[in-house]
This record gives sequence, structure tokens and C-alpha cells, in this order.
Amino acid sequence: MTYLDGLRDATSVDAIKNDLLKTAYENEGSFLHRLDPRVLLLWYVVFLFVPWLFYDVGVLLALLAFVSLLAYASRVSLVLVALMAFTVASTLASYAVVTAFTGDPLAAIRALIPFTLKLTIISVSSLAVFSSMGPKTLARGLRSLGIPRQFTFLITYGYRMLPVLFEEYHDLVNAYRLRSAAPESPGRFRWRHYAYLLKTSMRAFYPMIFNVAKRSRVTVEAMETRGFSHSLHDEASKELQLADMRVRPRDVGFFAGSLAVVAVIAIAL
Amino acid sequence: MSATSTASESWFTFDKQDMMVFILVMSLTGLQNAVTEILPEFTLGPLELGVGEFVFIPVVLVLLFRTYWAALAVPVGEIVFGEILLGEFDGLGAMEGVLLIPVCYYFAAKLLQDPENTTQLALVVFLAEGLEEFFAMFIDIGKVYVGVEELEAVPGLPESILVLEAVDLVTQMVITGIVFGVIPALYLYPKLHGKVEPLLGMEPYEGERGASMWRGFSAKAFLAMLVAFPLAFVAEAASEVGGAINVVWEPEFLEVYGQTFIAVPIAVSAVVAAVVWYRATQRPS
Repeated sequence: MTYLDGLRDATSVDAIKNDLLKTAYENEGSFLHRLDPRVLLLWYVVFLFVPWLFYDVGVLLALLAFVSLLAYASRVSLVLVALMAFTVASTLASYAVVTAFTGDPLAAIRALIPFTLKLTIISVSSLAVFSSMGPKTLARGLRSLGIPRQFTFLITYGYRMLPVLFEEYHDLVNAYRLRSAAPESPGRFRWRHYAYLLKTSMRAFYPMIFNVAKRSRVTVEAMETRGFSHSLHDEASKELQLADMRVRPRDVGFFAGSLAVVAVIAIAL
Repeated sequence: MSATSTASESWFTFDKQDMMVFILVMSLTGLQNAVTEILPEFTLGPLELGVGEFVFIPVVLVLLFRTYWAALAVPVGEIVFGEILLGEFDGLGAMEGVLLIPVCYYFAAKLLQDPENTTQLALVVFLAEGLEEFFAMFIDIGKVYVGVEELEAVPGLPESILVLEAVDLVTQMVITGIVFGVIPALYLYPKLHGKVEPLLGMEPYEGERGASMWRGFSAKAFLAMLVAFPLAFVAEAASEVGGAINVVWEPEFLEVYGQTFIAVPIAVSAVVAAVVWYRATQRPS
């Protein structure tokens, strides 16, 4: 029974891991993915501010529907959406529960709903934009907007490294589990089992730190051999990297279109 | 390593060694973040029970390398791995972490003067996490105050926000601060000290036996913390609360001019879009 449970735990963690990795690596070809990153960033900035111009719950709901549609079109991970929905609901609920002791819970909820709606609109639009943009495109967009290369490099580095680090860490955890004995009895609510897993996953970071230290040294040395610092101050290399970034009619159409949608919502409702 | 021990140099110069440390701290913080993301977590609104984060990893690394860049790598790692890659990026809201975490961690790291003194080590780790959580609590409270109009008119709401945030601070400090912060850090720091630094070609920080923490009190770092807090609040307010200004003056304005007012921001952003487009099309030629 214990083994079966352990297997089930592993597969469910694996399932979540795969879902998250899919979010990071399999968004090519979604609708927003094909747009210019600079236009998307600008769109995001505009949508950070738009919800705050309205106080009507109807308008806010319509806006939420609009950004949710975009998020759906850019294939946002369901785990993330569920997580967000749960957080929103539980925040409202916990305020209501505590306010029940100090005052009027219904009034508190009513005051919080527009505020929460605005926050939700913003989070959904950032989910749509950033999970569809892809770190490589984002790094290039930020670079063309003048963020130093040292930092945009880190985004692409993380993009390459995340699966490697995951894999390595998973191997280390498994190695620790092979070499140590699981607790004899799982205890009430299997707490001993979970404490053991938690302790193993914390201890696995010890060898991991050395591995990553070695890797980061090799990375920096390799970059230097290929002239990274030199290319930082070289205009030609920047131009070469950003050469194929263009704002196309499609981007302008998307931007103007979504502004038109906002205007229609504002006037119709 | 002079670049890692003197404050005046390491604040703004960014050499190869800093780059190595940055990549190291960023990768490990990010991995830690992604792992704890997968582990089961029980979040009840603002209350977070369960594994929040393996805070000991970033704190111990910052204590080992003691540069501002190492501290800055902590929020960057969280943003790159935990948010951008996993699609949870909340834009300007991440600025809160970028502004607060480095100054708090850096300030705390400077206070560690005697690495062999266990009490000092425990205190410093607790302080690093505590300062950050404390400022973050104020920002969370202020956020709702700015975001909800007529907050005072709703009976019981302000009190409940205070209660929830205070309870959250306490649980966070016990769970994240002590169970996942101080205790593993006390085990990990001595094991890593003197072993990781040579791998990156640096001298480990020796400190001085019996030195008091006050010697490490850096007025500059303290000042940076005091400056970063209001900035972080503004960034947070600007993102989550959009125009804090809007909330205050908007309603009457909208009543006077009606919904046609919406044309103004739309026109402004259209102009901005045109300018960006113009600049973007000009560049390649």
C-alpha cells in the first residue's frame, strides 16, 4: 500500500511538473506568440491601467471576459488558471469570515468585489501575455527597449537551464531516497512520510549547489572565450540580434482592435 | 577578493565574478522556487500554510558571497524561473520583490561578522526574512487601503485586513522563517562555507572571531532599505492599484464628462503605439 501511494505521489508531482514545463516550452504557434514583443509589452502596460478607469461591475466583467478569451487563445495552463481562481475565491472568503467577527461581511464582500475584479483582469492579461510570449522573445523585446544585455541574457539562460536543473535535482532526490531508509510507519495522516520527503528534497540541494556553482563558472568562462563582454558594447552585435524584429500590420491591428473592444464595452454598457 | 568584501566597489561594478555569483544564486533560487511551486501548498487567501519557500537557499548564498549583486539575484531568479518561465509573471508587481528583497538581504548579510558564531548566524537569517516579510505586510495592507474606495465606511473591513495580515506575518515567520529558514541554514552554512567560494575562484569570507554584529551595521544599506520601502509601495500601488491617483479623483471627473473620457487614454496609447512603431521601423535601415 505504501509503495502504491508513493508511486501515486510521484506521478502526480510528475504530472504537475510536466504541465508547468509545457507552459514554459510549448507555446509556439499560439495567437499572441506571433506578435511583436514590444507591442505586447505596450498592450500589457495599457491593460494594467484600463481596469482602473471603470467602477461598473458589468464593464469589469466584460473586460474580464475579453482578456480571458485572449488567455484561452494563447493556451494558458489549466493548473495556473485553477490556482488563480482558487486564490481569488479564498481571499474573498477569508475576508468575509474574519469580517463576520468584526463587522458586516456582506458589505465587505461588496466593497471588495470591484477591487478583486480589477486585480483578476490584470492577472489574466499578464498570464495571457507572458505565458504566450516565450522567454526568448521577451528577452529580445526587453533588449530592444534598452534593458542591458547582462539581464536579458539571464532570461534566455534560465529558459535553457530549467529542464536541466529539474532533471538533475530529481536525480539527486532519487539518489538520496535510494541511499536512505523511508520511515517505518507513516504515522498519523502520513506525516512522517511527508516530513521524510521534505527533508530529502531539502538535503538534495546540498550537492546541487556545487553542481550549479561549477556550471555557472563554466558558463561565464565559455561566454568570455566567445567575447561576451566585448559584444556588450558593440552596436553591430546588437543590431544583428534584433535585425528581424518588426512591427507588422498584424501587431498594429491587434493593438487597435483591443482598444476598440475596450471602447465598445465602455460605451455599450 | 576585494570586489566581494568592500561595499563601495561592489555596489555598481559588475565583473565576471559577480556574473558567476549572479548566475549561481539566480539558478538556485529559481530552482528552489519551482520546486516549492510543485510541492503541495495550502493557501487560504492571504494566509499561506505549508511550504512557502526554501528560504534558506537564497539567504545562505547571500551570506556566503555578501555582495549586492548576489542579493539582487534572488528576486531575479524568482522572476525568471518562477514567473516568466512558468507563466505567472505579474509585471510591475514583481518590482516589489526586486526593490525589497535585495536591500533587506544585503543589510542582513552585512551584519554577519563572525561566521562561526551560531547565534549570530541564526539572528541574521531570521532578520533577513523578517525584515522582508515585515515591509511586505505593510505593502499588502496599504494596497487594499488604496484600492478599495470608502474602505472606512464598510464596518469591520479595515480591522479584518489588519488581523489577517498580522496572522499571516506570524505564520510566515514560524513556517518559512524558522522551519525553512533558520534551522536548515544553521546546518547548511558551515557545510558550504569555504567550499563553494573556491569553486568560483574566490576567497571565503573569514570575518573575525567574537566580533559584534554592530560592526557590520552599514548606514548606507540601512538607508537603502528605508528608501526602497516607499518605492516598492509605489510600484506595487502602480501595478495592482493602477492609478492610485485615479481612485481618488476619478469618480467626479467621470460623472462630469461621462464615459467619453475613456477616449483620452485610448488616444494617448494610440499615439505612443504610433511612436513605437515609427521607431521600430526606422531602426533596421
